[in-house]
Amino acid sequence: MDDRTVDVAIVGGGLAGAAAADVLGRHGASVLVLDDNLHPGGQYLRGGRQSGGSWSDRVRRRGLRLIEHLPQSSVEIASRAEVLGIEAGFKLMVARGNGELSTVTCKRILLATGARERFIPFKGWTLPGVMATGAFQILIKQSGILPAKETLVAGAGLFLTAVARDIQKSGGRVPAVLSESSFFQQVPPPSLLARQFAKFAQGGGMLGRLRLAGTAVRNGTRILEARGDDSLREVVAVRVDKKGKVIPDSETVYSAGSLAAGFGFTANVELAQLAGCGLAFTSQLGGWVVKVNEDLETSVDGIHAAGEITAIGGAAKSLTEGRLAGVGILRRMGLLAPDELKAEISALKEMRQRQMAFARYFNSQYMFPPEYLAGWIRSLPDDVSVCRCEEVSLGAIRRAVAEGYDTPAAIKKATRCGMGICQGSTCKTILLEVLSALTGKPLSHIPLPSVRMPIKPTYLGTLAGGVP
Amino acid sequence: MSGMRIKNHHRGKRVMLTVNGRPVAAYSGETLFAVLCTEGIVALRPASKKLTEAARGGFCGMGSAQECRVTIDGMPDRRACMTEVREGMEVVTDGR
Repeated sequence: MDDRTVDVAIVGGGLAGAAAADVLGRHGASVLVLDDNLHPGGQYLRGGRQSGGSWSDRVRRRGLRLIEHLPQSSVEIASRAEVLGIEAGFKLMVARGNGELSTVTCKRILLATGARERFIPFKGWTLPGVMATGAFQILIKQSGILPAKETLVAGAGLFLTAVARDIQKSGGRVPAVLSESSFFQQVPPPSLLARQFAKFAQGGGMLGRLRLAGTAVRNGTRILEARGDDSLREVVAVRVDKKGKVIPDSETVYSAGSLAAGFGFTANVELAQLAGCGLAFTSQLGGWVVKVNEDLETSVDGIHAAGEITAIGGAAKSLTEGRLAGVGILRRMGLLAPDELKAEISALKEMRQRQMAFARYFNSQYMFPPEYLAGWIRSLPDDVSVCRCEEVSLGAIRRAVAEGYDTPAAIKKATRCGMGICQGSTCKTILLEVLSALTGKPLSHIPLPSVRMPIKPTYLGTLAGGVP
Repeated sequence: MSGMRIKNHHRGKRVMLTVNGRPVAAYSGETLFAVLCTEGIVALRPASKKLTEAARGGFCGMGSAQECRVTIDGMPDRRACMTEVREGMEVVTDGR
């Protein structure tokens, strides 16, 4: 890809990015969507129409139609394009899959960088055979492959049920779903139940079908340890009480060669952080997110944000926000008269409020109250791995904290936690939560470690201008 | 752990690759990570710092954990989950 100049660069080709590209392209803006995946559609539309099933999913159908009918004269999608940094004036540094480096110059940027999974570590979580819940969904949707005939599903949050059902529908067996939180532990407020009844009915239906197929659903249950030599052989689980304390003599050992582990999500805020956009820690929104106003503008003039990075909230919210952000950008560029699309915009804003209400409930199922999470982390043994890349144990971090290192930056220097090849993408949230548990400081008072260009792992040959 | 292909998934054309010198059949559109799963190859490499003896395998499936790095056509440290299989691809894993 040669150096390019466009009106709007969109980082992320998921539902939010695509919805924005659509409305922008149809109103005369030139748009380049930079997406790091092999195919557009983000995590939700993986596999596109090749993927069997899921045809009852209205959001999926809408998303696929949207991407297939993007206005081709004004919107270009660059796949396998990783944005490594943003410079003032808006220049984006982009690494392509073929190893080329290029620059994109634009007037406005929409950040729609999505989310990744959040983890709470346990002993043995680095064993082959232990994988993120999302990895199972991706293998199923994109490649039509189940990694194992039998898979144990464990962790926290409502997503576990969905993953277990996807595995089952694909012909796999799920002996048990082990969840720290209960589906009804924090009962949704009646107003939310009424407005989002379909979603709760869907969740209840999933639980019912899981049980019918012989899956044991165990709430208040935590993974204590994953065991095996070269790969996973068994999982030890314990029961926990309402405050998160382990109940003595409650161990159950599950024989398992495959474990889908998930503890909710965390927003990909790194690029926004690099660009200087204001961030905020809000537990109900899923942790650290990009601060936006109701038109989805960040604190940096010319940079907008939509989708999971403004609040973990799911596919439908991403579609709504993408469209709203697109309209906002058109307004700022003078491509839309102030009274154009007025009725639609107020309808979208109302819909977003409803979707945010569900998001807050969804996120409450895995974020946990501070004292609950702190007690959980303090109970973990020293030999639990925190940073997978640099092999930094919880014990090493405990020692560093005892010596007075109490910020992520200081811990990184002292232990190398987060300095490996994944650049902390897996262990950053863990480190923040460990520091909060060990120092007693609230999570909102623990500063995010700083980010630098390139924000993604890059081959040296690419940076040197050659093809590696 | 050894995986299986799901019945109602639309597959691309059949391709042949080699994994650690052994011929493996797969379908275009499948990621290398998925194909390794169906072959029961879960341990893909030693841990980076080699402080422990245990091997590592694919973890996040979405390109961020960097755990599924293998050698593809002679190029080391390529992510299996971000690579679609191609006819004639040569893959080497180091999971011992």
